[in-house]
Amino acid sequence: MTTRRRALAAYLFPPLAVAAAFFVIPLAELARQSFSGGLASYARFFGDSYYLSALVITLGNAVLVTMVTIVVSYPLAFTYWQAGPRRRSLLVILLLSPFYANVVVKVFGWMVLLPAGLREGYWAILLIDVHRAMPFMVLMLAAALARIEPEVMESARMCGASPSRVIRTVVLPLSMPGVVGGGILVFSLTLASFIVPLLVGGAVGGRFLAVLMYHQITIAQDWGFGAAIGVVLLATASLAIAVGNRVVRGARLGRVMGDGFGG
Amino acid sequence: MGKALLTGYNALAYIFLLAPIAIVLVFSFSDGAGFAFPPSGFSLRWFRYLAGRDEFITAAVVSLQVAALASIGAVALGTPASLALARERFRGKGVVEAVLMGPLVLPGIILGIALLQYFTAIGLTRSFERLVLGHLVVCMPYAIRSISAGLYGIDPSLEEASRTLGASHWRTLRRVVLPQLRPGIAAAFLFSFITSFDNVVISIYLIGADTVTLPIRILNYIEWQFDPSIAAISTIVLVVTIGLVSAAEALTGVIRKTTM
Amino acid sequence: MAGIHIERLRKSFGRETVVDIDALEIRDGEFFSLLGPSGCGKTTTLRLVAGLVGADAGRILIGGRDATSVPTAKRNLGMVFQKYALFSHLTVAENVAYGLRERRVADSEIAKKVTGALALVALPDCADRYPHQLSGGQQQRVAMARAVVYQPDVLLLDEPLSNLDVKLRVAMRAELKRLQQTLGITTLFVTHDQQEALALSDRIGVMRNGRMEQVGTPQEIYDAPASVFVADFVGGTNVLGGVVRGVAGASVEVEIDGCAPLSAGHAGSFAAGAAVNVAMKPERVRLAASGPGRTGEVESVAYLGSGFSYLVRVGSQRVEARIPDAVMVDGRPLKAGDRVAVVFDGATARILDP
Repeated sequence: MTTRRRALAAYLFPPLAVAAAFFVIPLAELARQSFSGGLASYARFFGDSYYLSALVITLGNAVLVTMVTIVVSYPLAFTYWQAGPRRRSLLVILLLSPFYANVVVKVFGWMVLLPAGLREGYWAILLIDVHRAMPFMVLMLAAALARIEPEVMESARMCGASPSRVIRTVVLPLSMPGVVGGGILVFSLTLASFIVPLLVGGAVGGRFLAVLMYHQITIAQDWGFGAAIGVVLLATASLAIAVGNRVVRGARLGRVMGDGFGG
Repeated sequence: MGKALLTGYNALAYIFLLAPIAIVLVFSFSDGAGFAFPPSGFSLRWFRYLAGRDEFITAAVVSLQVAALASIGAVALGTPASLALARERFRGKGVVEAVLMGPLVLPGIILGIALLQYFTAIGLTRSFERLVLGHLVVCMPYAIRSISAGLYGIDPSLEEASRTLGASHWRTLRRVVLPQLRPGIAAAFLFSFITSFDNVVISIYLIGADTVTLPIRILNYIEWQFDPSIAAISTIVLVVTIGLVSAAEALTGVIRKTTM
Repeated sequence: MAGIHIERLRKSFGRETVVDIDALEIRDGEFFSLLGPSGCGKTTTLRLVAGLVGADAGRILIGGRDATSVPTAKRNLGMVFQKYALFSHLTVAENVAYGLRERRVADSEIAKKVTGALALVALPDCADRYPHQLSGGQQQRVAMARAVVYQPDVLLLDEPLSNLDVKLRVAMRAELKRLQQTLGITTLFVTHDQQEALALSDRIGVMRNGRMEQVGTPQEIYDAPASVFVADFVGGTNVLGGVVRGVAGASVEVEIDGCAPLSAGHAGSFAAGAAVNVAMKPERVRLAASGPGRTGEVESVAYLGSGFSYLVRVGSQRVEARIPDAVMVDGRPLKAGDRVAVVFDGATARILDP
């Protein structure tokens, strides 16, 4: 028993030391920095309609992207779920290629594809954000659908329900954990979206919190204010994840976690 | 009727998903200087052009070095962390897990700016070290996830068997657990490598004038110049990433297991 | 070689007490089985002896030495796991050599002992193969060789036959017994299969809810179950509710609804009017198809190969009778719906507390 305790300490000390030094302490320092002028940075943020509207734009975009992504991804997840094993291995490759492609490469690809008039501005942001979020969403939904036992659907069909009715009354409700889980994931991913508004956002791109923060740090060199924007962004994302987990738990659907803030 | 509609929609959606990647691949082999479609002919001129550009070569070297070092560190730290998290029960495990896995859920841009400020405060000025440490922190959770998945796949009775046969905890670790865990550790290294090689949002805060990673170099280049050389370098990044993913996938089948 | 001595051994997981054994003595060289349904604590008891889980209270002595706080690695045990737990990255020979290497045995000696152990389990030509290249039965033999090659004090077997198909299981049973007798090693065997326990053991401990319900030889357990639970679990026993009519010395007269009164031996003390259970082997139940007192009704007849099994309803209860030759009535075999008289053999019946 004592060997195990000693082993446990030896196992955990190095990784925890690194995580403390380069994750916990820097974040705490960032939070402290945001209060360096008392509440001044926050007063400035919440007292200025420019920054408040930036918060609204960032949040609104995340909501819109999430909703659009759910709608456009669901049929893909459904088809994936219904496909046989060989089809699936093809589809998973098609899904994972854009999933793993570097965000800069994806944005560049869209810049080449889009006609000049659409290459910059809000529509470009919406389009690319949805494109980035779709593989996540399809895989999350497919995982939720995979948990539905075929017997449930068969018994619904035995009861005389038409295929479309089975989808509406059985498949959709049972896949809700995936919808909520994927939704939270996409929402928090999009909230922190940075490269997309930076590269294709044009004027409106500068109104996204992540870009705003970057400019405060690198151009205005206003550390306290940049840190405060970061804290606001982090608080919003955490709140979304917490609320989402709450909803999921309330509905006894199992836990979801945000993951993969690729930029 | 409904089925045909669904099939049609799927085809369009996958075209949408793959189009930006496909277009990059196509134009990287074009012989023209613009992006007029279809490309006028096939050539390797943009790859040759890249071979002569020092800023891309150095960026690639920096990216590979940072990814290698961060991944080695992530595996070295992630292996013991996984052994504790996947095999032991102890008080405060939730907190330990939150601290170790936290970088996975934290928006990268926030960690990036926090690290920039912190490194400046503690006087760590060299960009290369900054990049390695920053990437190490974000790679560690991925390494822990892969190695833990590997550990969950090893029957705990193997370790018990080793103990009944007379091997101590450490001997069991060396003679049974680590050899059994080899594929998980390899996958952890590959996923860490991809995570580091792909990173933009932390790197963007930590790079220095002469220490730039490849994705950041591409990012900067797009703002200045818009020609197929970017497509060529993007193709190289894509090939490296997809190659690493396939290798990791072959080792673990993680994605297959969770979504099929 | 060594016996195992257990006293006041307790283990709980959370609020649930899974093992609570007052005393248990496993003799040197004995083949002892822990038998019980899943969740009865038999596997935890084995793991406590192995040191794979720590005891909350009590002592475990192996060969007279207190092993309670000795780490597993230093207890000098051999253990065969349910799924064998062979090291898939090592060859068969390396698997068998594992324990010898931990004991710093010289290489030349190791080679000799591994060859000997593989010969002992009748697997001489598999030394250089990997576990996944072997069949289930062969893996089982390797696990056995690995556990005994360094001459451990005690051999622990955690349902080692449960992953084999029925035919192989019976064959391996004989093999296991032969091996144990050849080595004369004290063996603690965990199983939920009463056939296996009866066939292999010198003695059996039947466990229920973490406690020892009965310890005895296979015959004792089978013929004289100490409780309804043991009778039920070991199986093949009719357990019928009855009422005590009178006590006369060592025998009790019991009335079972719908049957003739019977006198049976007992160990406890019973008062007239008390409700009791009567345990009775199906082989000891006779059926009379003619004559008086035919209060039973045949519900079903099954041919078992070695004889016939009749399920008879008497009053509100059901009795099984096993009879080598078909019971005839009016020149034809007895069939469902016929009325019969049920006759118990008081000499072999056991009166149990309800």
